[in-house]
Amino acid sequence: MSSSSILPPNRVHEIGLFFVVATLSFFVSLSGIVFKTTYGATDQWISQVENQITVRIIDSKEDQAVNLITDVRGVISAKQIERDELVTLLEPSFQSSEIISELPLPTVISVLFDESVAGVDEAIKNVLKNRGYEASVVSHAERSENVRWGLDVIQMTSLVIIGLLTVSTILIIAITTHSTVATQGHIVRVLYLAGARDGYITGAFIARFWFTIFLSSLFGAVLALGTAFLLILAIGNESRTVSWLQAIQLGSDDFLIPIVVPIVASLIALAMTRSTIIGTLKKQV
Amino acid sequence: MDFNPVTDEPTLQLDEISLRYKRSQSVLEGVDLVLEPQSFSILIGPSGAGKSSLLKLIYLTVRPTSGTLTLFGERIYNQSRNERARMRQRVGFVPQDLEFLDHLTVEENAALPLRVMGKKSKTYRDDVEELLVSLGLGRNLNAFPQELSAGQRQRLGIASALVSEPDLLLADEPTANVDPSTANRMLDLYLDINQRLGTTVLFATHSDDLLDDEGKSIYRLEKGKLTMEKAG
Repeated sequence: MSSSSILPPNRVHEIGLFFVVATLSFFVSLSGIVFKTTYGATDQWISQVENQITVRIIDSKEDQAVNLITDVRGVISAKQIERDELVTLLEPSFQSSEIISELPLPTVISVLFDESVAGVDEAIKNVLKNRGYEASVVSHAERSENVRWGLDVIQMTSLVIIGLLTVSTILIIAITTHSTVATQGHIVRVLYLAGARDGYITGAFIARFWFTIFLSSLFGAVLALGTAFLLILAIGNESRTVSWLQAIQLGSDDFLIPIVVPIVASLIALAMTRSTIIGTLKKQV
Repeated sequence: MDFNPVTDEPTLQLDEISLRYKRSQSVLEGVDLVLEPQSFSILIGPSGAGKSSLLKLIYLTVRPTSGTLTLFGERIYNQSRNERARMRQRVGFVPQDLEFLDHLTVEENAALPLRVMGKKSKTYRDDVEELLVSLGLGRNLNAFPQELSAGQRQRLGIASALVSEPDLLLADEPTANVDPSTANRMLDLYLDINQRLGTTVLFATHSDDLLDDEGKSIYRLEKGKLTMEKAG
C-alpha cells in the first residue's frame, strides 16, 4: 500500500493561489525595495550637498579667489572646478562637448563648509565683493530644502501606497486561502468521519497551504529582488557619466525582504487555513 | 477477525433524548433505546422520520437538545472535541451519502481511520486487505472510489467503518438506492459482520421488506418518536 498524501495533489485552485500570492509578493517587495533604495540615495545626496556652496566668478581674478574663500571662517575647503569637469557637467544640457568648448565658461569654485557656522555664504559674498570680484554665491542648502520637502512628500505618498498594497495583499491572501481551503470541505468531512482529531485535520491543511504560500511568496520576493537589482544595474549604466551623484544600490537589509515577506504571507495563510478548517469542523459539531 | 469481547453493560443507552435543530420543529422526542453488546437492531421509518439524525447523534456529530446518551458505559455530556473523536473511533458509521477521498485507492480509503489514528501502514496492511477481500473488494484494492459501482462503494463504506474494529456499527440507509435482491444481500452482509465479528449493529432503513429475518430487534421511528416493534 503506497501512502499517498492525505490531501489531493495540487489542483487549479492551488495553482491559482500560488500565482496570486507570488504576484502580490513581487509587487510589495519590489515597491519596498525601490522606495527604500531611491529614498536612501536621495536622502544621502541631499545630505552631501547641504553643506556645499557654489561660487561663480565672472571676472578674471579667480586665482586669488580660492585662497580668499578658504580663509573665511567656517569654510572647510574650496576647490576650483576644472574646465574638463565643467564641460562634463554641462554636456547633458548641450548634447555636445564641441559647442561647450567654444563658449566662455565662468570660473566655478566648489566650497565645503561647516554647517554649524551660520552665514558662511554671506561672509564669502562680502569678502569677494570687498576685493572687487563680481561673483554669485549660491548655498545648496537653499535648494536642498525644497528637494527635502519634495522628498518628504514622496516618502509619505510611497508609504501610503506601500501600506495600501500590503493591506490589499494581506486581504487577498486571506480571502484566496479561505476560498481555496473551503473548496476542500468534503475532505474535512471524510477525515472527520474517519475519526480524525481536529488537530490532525488542521495540521494536514496547514502543512500544505503554509508551504504552498511560503514557496509562492518566496518566489515573488526573490523575483522582485532580482528585478530591482537589474533596474539598478541599468540605471547605473545610464548614469555612469554623472558619477558625482550618490549611487543607487541594494543594501544588505534589502536581502531581508525575501525572508520577511514569505514569512508574513505564510503566517497569514496559516491563520486563515486554521480558522477556515475550524469553521468547517464546527459545522460537523 | 473477532474483535468484540462480550461485556455486561449496554453498548448504547439513550434516555429521553430529544433533538431540535435551530428554528425547526422537533426531530426527536423522548427517545429511549438500549443496544446490548453483539445485538443486531433494525431502525425502520419513513424518509424524514429522523433516522439519520438519530444515527448522527449516536455517532456524536449532533448534540441532543435534552436527554442522556451513554456510550460504552460512558455518559456523553460535555466531552471535548478530542474526547468525542476518541469515542467515535469505537463506532463505525456508514453514512447515507458516502464520501471518499478520490485521490486515494480503495485500500487507502479503507485504511483511512487507522491512518488518522497515527498507525503505520505496515502494521495494518494485511488486515485491511483481508477485510476488503472478505467484503468482495479483493479485485479493487488499487482502484479509485469513482471507478466503483454503487454496491461496491457501499462495501467500501462498510470496510472503512469496520477497519478500526468498532464495537458499534451504524448503517444509515445502506439499501436506499439498490434493488430488493441487492438490499437483501446488503442486510446479509451486516448480519454476517454481526455474527462473525460480534459487532453491535444498528441498521437504519425505510423498507419494511427487510423485516422477515428472526433474531433482530426492530425499532420504528415515526415523527421523531421511537417504539420497539420486536425484541431480538
